[in-house]
Amino acid sequence: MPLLLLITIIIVTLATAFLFLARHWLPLLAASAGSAFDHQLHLTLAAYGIAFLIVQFVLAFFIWKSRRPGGRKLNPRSYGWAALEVVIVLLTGAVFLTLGVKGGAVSIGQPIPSEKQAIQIEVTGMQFQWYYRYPGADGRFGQTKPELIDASIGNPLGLDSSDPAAHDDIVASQLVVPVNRPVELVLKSQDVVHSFFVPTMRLQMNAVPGLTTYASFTPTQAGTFEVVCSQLCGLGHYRMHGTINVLPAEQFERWITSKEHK
Amino acid sequence: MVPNAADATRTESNTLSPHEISFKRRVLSRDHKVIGLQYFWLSLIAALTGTFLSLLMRIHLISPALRLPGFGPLKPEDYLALVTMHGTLMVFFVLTTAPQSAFGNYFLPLQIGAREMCFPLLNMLSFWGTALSFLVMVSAFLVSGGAPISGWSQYTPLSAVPSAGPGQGLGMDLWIMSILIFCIASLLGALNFIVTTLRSRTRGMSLMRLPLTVWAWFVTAILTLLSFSVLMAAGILLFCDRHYGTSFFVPTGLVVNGNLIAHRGGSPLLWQHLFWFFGHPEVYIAILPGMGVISTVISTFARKPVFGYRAMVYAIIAIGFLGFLVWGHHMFISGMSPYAVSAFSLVTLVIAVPSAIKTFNWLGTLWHSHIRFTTPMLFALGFVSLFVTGGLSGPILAQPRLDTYLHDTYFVVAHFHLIMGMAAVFGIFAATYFWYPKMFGRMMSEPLGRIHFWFSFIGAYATFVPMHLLGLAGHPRRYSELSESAAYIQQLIPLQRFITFAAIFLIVGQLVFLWNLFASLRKGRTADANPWQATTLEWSTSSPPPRHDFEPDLPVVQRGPYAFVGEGEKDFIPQWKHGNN
Repeated sequence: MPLLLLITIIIVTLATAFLFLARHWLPLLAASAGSAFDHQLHLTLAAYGIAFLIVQFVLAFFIWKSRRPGGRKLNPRSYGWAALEVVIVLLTGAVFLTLGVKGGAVSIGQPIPSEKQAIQIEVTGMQFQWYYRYPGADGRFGQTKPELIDASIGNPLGLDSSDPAAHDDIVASQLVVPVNRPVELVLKSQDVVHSFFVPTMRLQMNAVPGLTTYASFTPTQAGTFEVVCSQLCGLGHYRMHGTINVLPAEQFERWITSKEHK
Repeated sequence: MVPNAADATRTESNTLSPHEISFKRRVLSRDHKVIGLQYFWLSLIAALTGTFLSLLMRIHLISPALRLPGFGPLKPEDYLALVTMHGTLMVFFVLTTAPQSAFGNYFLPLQIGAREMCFPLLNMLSFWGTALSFLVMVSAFLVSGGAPISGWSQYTPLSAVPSAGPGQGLGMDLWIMSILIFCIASLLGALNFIVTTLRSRTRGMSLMRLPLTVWAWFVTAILTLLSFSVLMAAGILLFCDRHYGTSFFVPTGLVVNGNLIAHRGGSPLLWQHLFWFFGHPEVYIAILPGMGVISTVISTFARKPVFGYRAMVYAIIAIGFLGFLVWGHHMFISGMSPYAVSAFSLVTLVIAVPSAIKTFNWLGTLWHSHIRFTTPMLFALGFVSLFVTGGLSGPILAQPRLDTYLHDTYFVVAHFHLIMGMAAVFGIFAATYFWYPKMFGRMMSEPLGRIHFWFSFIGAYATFVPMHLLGLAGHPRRYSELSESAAYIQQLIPLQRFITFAAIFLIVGQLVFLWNLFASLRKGRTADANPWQATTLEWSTSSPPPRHDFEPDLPVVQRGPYAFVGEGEKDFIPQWKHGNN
């Protein structure tokens, strides 16, 4: 039994470590700030992975060492060892907090001081799709009113046509952004809590009704990337997905001009 | 007080027919042991139901078109109803009920040398409240629209607006009602535990001589009292939002299914704060009693005193206290202030320290010991292994930067199923195998117990470790139709298939446990008073104990709870034994 336990714990532990290392599980990275995330994740996984291996091996080893029945003399340290206890506290505290402070220095969901370069886009979640709104040539989002929302007449966001700023707003069901330019997302929801999750951009933020949240990223390569909803929002939660189309700068200009003149 | 209780039973016997006595003893009993067993069977029924629901979910994920006999294929809303009810049943009726209410009720009075809980009538009411709550909860499956689909955390407005989905009407009302009843029952139970621990200890049982199980039940009861009262308030507010036109959780201008909702001015974040103020301590409510059991079991079968008893007590108290300051780590990407995010992150990382102390001290107890490899010991060792594996992903998720990616992915599912699910369940199994002889007077089968352990240990790792990988790959939780989700999720279906097979393996192993549990009631070897040569007071009385626990006199406590002296046949000195040998 002790030998079997020793072997099982070691096999399970190594298999776990192997699975984590078997392939690069993270999706392709397509946003500039994502590398900080990847670095921090790998560092943390490595640190805790080592802790995991050490503790499991110690457990297996102690079990195996204690296999022989029979009496053993106790010594005072069998009841506890305060000095070692303090060392453990300091050590674990230091590791957890160091990694934590490194991983904590991030401001989530708040408006970011606008960069000149940045393009601002409003994202609205509803059961079960995402809509995107560009402010148009005037750079301002027009007013929306919940009572005007009517997808059947082509006004899914409830744009108020009496507001001049609303006239040139572009509403799209696909997110189109230029490459290498900061994108600032303003997140809203019409009905329940959704979550805007783009694994390739290492970006996830809740869209909360009655509240505005923010997220930003800078795509570093052109292509099509998937967006999903990661907060349970109802029966169609699984199918609330779409794409981000990252275009080269000039193609993006063409796209936005074609939309503006429609 | 105690003779009075005995008198009361005698008077009862004089005036009631034998049939009525039997009913009073078995059903409307105020005996903490009977109530403990009632809780035990209730949580077993809930565990079987919850496990069956998870089996349906796992099968649906890999073969969504499968027609269930008499039901047809599962629709997406059916899957989400399973998600909600699996989580609710497991968290409330298994992880809260079994370790605390079942074993706590049975063994807390026995371990402190009392004949009864302080308020036996309240104790009876808390059990029947919990049982009623369970019936109301499962009845949600039967009403029109079915059970709620908004998950056990019931985020508003999805849970507040009946038109937001099927199951959000009457099913959701039943969910709230059930939880309100559960809260009342839990509050009564918690009061009983706290007062009994403080008032009913036998002579010599000072606080620092309490078994760690009692410390864990005591601290858990305090957590229950403080957190369930908040959940109850939140549930009442939610009910008012749904029926009486208030807007605590529903903001202005909501448009659901094309209809403008009339509520104004509420906040979805308020619900999340209230819910997780309950929800996080709840995690510790589920795991602390298991920690107490594991400390006792490891010490008993390693034939060594608990390493660092005082540190263990302080760690339980620290975990209980810090457990109230970390609820915000469930809300890093909710739109909460980033200052709050940083604060919650730091406190969450601090809580890892007392958890590390516990792990370290279990290892310290094993160090230089000579283990008796009984089934309860196997599950205790499995608990330590799973606690470490599940625990180490906690401080990963506690880093806001990492959580912005891993939040609401399968990484979280893996984390809490390992630590709150599997580790806590291993605690329940260890407790069951350990105390079965005391509760039923018979031993469980050791060979079957070992088979059960191997199925469970390997099954737990095989099922939940791969979920981390799904999470790293960005697979969100609570998705029902994987083949209609985003392309990168469809690519992960082979891994999902493996997890389903592993889960079936894990569940099949539990049938061995069921067989062992029931067969041993009749066929198990008769247990004497102290079959494990353990040291705490429940082993001083017969198995099962008499109606008033200790006959004729209460034991008097001479020493701390884990006096294993490490030599020869008589290598232990029970708490009740006079002298040094």
